[in-house]
Amino acid sequence: MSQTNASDRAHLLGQGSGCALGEVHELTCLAPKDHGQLAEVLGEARRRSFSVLPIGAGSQLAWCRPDAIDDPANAPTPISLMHMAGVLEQIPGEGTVTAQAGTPWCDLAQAVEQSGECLPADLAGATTSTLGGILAAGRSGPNRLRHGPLRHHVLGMQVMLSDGTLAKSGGRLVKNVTGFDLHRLYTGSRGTLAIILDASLRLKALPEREWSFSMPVADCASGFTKALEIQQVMPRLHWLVLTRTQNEVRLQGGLAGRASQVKADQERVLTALGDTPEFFDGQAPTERKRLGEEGAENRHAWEIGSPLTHCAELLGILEAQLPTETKLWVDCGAGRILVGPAGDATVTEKPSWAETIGAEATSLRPLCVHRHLHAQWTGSNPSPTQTDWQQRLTCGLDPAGIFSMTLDPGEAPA
Amino acid sequence: MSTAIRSLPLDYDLTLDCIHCGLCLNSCPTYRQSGRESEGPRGRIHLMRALSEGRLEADQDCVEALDSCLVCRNCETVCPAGVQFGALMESARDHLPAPGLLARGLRWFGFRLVLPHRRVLGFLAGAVRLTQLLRLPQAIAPLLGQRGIALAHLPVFPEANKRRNLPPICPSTSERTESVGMLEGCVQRQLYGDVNRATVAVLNACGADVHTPQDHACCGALHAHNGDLDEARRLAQKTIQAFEDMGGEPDMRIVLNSAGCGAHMAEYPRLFAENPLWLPRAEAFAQRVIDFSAFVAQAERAEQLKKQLAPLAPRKVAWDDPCHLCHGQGITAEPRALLDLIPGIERVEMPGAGSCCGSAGIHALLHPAESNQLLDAKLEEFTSSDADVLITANPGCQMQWHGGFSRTGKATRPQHLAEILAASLAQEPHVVSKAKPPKKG
Amino acid sequence: MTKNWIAELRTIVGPRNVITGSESLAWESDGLSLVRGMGQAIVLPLDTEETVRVMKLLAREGVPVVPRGAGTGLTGGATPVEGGVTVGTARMREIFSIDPVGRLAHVQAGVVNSDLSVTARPHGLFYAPDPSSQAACTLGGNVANNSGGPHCFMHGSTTRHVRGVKLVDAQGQVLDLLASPADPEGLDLVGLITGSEGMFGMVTEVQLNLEPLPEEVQTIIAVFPSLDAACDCVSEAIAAHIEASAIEILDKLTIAAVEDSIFAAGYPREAEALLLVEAEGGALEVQETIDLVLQLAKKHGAMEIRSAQDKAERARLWAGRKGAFGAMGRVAPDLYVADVVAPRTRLREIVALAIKIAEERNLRLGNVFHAGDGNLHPNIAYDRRDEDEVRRVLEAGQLIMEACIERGGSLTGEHGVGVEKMTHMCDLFDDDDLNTMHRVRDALDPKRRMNPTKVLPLRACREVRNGGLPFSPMGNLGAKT
Repeated sequence: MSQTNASDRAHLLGQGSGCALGEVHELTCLAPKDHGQLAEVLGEARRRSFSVLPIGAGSQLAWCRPDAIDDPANAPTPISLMHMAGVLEQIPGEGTVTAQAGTPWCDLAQAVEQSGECLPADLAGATTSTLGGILAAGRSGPNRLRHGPLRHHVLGMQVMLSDGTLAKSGGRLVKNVTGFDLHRLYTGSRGTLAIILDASLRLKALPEREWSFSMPVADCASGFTKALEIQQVMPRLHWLVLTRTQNEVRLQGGLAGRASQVKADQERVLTALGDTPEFFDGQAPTERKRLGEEGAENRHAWEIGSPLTHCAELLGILEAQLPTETKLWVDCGAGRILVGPAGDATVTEKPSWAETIGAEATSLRPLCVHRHLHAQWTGSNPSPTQTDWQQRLTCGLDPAGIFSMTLDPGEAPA
Repeated sequence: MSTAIRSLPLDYDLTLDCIHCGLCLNSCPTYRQSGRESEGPRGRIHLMRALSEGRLEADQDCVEALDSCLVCRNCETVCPAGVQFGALMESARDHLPAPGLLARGLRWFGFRLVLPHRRVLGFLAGAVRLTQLLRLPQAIAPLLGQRGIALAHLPVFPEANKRRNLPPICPSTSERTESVGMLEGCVQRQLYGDVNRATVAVLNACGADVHTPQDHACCGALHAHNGDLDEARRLAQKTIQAFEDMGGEPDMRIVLNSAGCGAHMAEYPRLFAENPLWLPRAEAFAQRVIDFSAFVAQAERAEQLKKQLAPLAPRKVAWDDPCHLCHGQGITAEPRALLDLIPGIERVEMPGAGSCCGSAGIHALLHPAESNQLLDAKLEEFTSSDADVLITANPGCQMQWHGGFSRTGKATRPQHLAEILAASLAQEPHVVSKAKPPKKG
Repeated sequence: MTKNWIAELRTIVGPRNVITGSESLAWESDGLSLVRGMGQAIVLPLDTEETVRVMKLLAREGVPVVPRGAGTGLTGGATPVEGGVTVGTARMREIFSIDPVGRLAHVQAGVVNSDLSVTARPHGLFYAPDPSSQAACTLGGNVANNSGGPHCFMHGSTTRHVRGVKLVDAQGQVLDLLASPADPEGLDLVGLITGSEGMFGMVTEVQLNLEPLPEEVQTIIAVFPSLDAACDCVSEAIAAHIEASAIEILDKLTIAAVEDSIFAAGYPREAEALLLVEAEGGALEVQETIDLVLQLAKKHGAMEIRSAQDKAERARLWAGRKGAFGAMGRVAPDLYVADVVAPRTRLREIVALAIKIAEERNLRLGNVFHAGDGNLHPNIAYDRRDEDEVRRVLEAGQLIMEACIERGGSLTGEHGVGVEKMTHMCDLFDDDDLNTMHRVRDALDPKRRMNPTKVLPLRACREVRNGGLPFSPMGNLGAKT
């Protein structure tokens, strides 16, 4: 095909299919009005053999900026579902909500708040991110400590496959085991298998009261040890995060729930913390939003996963190896360590400190390169079988290869 | 073969109670050992039902699956639908051939020739004792594999003196309140005469005169459990007759210190379901049967006993539930309560106390490897519990534990509940006032 | 014809652990005894290594595989397939480790659900998903079915507790996702495998999340004059965002069966409906939750409310609920256990409909269900030897399912699809949806050897609706594709 750049192609397509153009983060993208138009776009992509990338609100573009890809001419055409937004169903008293993928997360949060409910992940800092984008990126909020990751609360989904097929899985009910949980597969697939069109989430009750604390600690290793102690003392902690910035290392966390219980629990937490930290009552949500934003993957270069028993040691190693300006953001319940600096899109090699943390970590992945899902990148070490499974699934659901930017259809396994 | 099964409608109806839920599986020792559905209660019932319906032929495979059952009846305790597994298995075994030469030989020799005849039993006991004194079992053990090892670690049969019958009446040693009958049993009398004497001592202390039939051999439990219901019926009739002949009040309790016998005798009516003549007699008899621990633990008797118990040297004891006591009769609290009465000792609980030790009648003889596997697990529990002494209430279990301790080089030996109670009675009581009981003429 | 490969299987797992004789009949069904099948053999490997060798051999020979845990499933998911081999986990019972800091357990797939909680207890932890069959069902089976249970109302179903799995796939490859990080590195394969009913491979080991034992637990039962009132009470409780740990309802027939069984819990027999609610957590929040429940119960006409005074009483109340299914077995020789989900705002309506459907067909229906999740179990007692009754029962089951779906509900809340609900997948999904599931399955198991004839109907929905797919409950359900 001709050597046009991405935005030219988008224009061409836009004019051809009647599909409007949108702009997200200075990127020209296609913005189909409905499922029909989206199917047409995908049809074009198959016919002309180019790849497409659903980009949500563009906040995660750091890991797939077109100019980061080796071959800019073949950069994927961005697609935005901004016109396919809005709540589809929320029956009061059911405790669930179904909304289209293009719905901004904040709007959704506001909508459910009206009925005294809140979304299962506290991604309040994600000011523009869409439902579909958050699910596709596999994001969760700090409150996963108490409630589990967001993917655990996805009840069902409808997606569009590369051949335009509309496919549902799961449902809109809190308990359902009909067929395969394909919505779990799509969640976190970063748009490599299908385009998420709508999803159903389980809601939680808006907590009656919130409370949080923030406390400086000597270093990450001792801070994490403290974090483990507090978790044992107070299993009802909602979130617990360790942050290292240029100036200091801080342990921050919070409670949420029935007012009387939170009041009693906060005393126990303060006692366990020893030194008197700052704490917040009414300010808590704002603090947490700020923190949540800091913890967004798009501000970091690397993610390390580690069993909780090894985290403190691992953090000790990192602190020793990394320059002081490198930011760290640690989810103390999940054993997730995010390492700055922010959004280095050209990262392709394993960092020098990766060797030293080997045994302690269970995973190490860059947050800014899309292609790692296909295990062509040296940073992560999925087993051959895991790679085989991922390839089979990608080829099975997207044989034309329009959702994968680097997978050559000719390389598809038999 | 299958027509013979189908001709017993009782068998089939019992299989219908099973709803195939599988809650019995995790309680079944043989299923846990092998992981085979056909060696779990649900699978066995399924096979029995299929045999009944003519869907299956009783070949070697399925007969072995049924035969490997311990009939510990743990499944009955956990079954939500109330399946009478013990009854089903007895009925099925009655119609199936015993697999293997050893089993068939045992049935003929052991069940028909030996057990029902007191004198033959006595003679054999004496003979075995002689070989044991000459250490012959240890000599031939290597030739007989695991069975040989088991033989080599059997308790030594006591001298003839200790194998005699109890006197017809053993009078109470406290203020006399009642009379009871007692079964001396077949193996119990020959091997564990001391247990019987201890039982009498405790009963006497509770104020009971103990009456024992003089010419009784065997209650027939082993026969029923191993597929010889005809002989079981005959022995049941003899037993019922013997106790009827003994006289005394028609509702005089019959105390059993052997869990296996007690459970079986309480279910005598089932043997005579088709016999209008014997059924009422069996029902009347079954009403009188009571386990030793249940009898003694009754409020007034326990109070009476407690006053006479003296402290024993401090030690930890662990109670092991005989299957036919806890699962066959639903008795778990009373033995523990009695042990708790004894001053000076501490009772520790073994988590798997209700699980089979592997004795299971003649199962240890027929399936030595599996039996030992079960026993080994129990021995480990005993060791972890830190107990010094193992207490049980069934001759089969007592033999099995004895063999286990002996084989693993442990100094301790199992005791019967009655033995440790009697030991506590024999000590000098520290109760100051002690009215001498009136001599009974 | 000599089956050399069966002999080869014996050399892998040992001769005692390959069963081909007459006793194979014991494996012909799982908890759904209405459906039977007969394969070529049953194999019981000891660990992952043996499983790999077995699966590679079976792949080589092109033999279909039916994974089986304890066989307590209620939809025929472990029914043998004609020409296939059942691979059971009954010998894989080891609990490898409990990590009290990370709150994780590493177990073999054949470990019994309740055994894990018992083992975790000394560490101050427990395993939350508690199906009624937990004293028998295996964790591997729980993963395959995404099993639920009463306490999943608060803690979530199995899928929220599976951190990692080790699976042997159709080709005999080992997919080792045990030491998974908190978020999957690539695709969420663990999430995909959970609930896949054995169709993507054989899970041999699982890593599970454990929960800390609650500081405080309170359990109450409330007696209602009608099932309607109990359902309405629950609907209102859900709308008020109650944070109980379990909300269950039993009806009169079920109560009678339970009280007649060994699980007699002291439930009042005169109750038309009984609400069983448990709250766990911090002492204050538990008290608030219970107070709210009591308030609502009284509002909806509860005649009596009892609170469990101690652990023993609580255990009894739950034993009664969990023994309900088994206890119903006393009412008739066979029991049809339905498992539909109703939207929580329409509980009363659907429960009443189920009762009406049964009455119209002269059937005895007992309701016992996870009211909090809207997961109903309308249980119908019958005798399989009465062909007409069987027909009426299946018809009633079908109508109840359809009624639920029409009102926004679902086919199955925790028992899975298996064989029993396969044709009804077309009521919930269209051809595109099902074809997509086929595509995923075909990508991972191109020869369709893993648990074939289950979950996904093989004909187009149009054909299924016109009676294209035979479901023969009384006979052998072979792999007639």
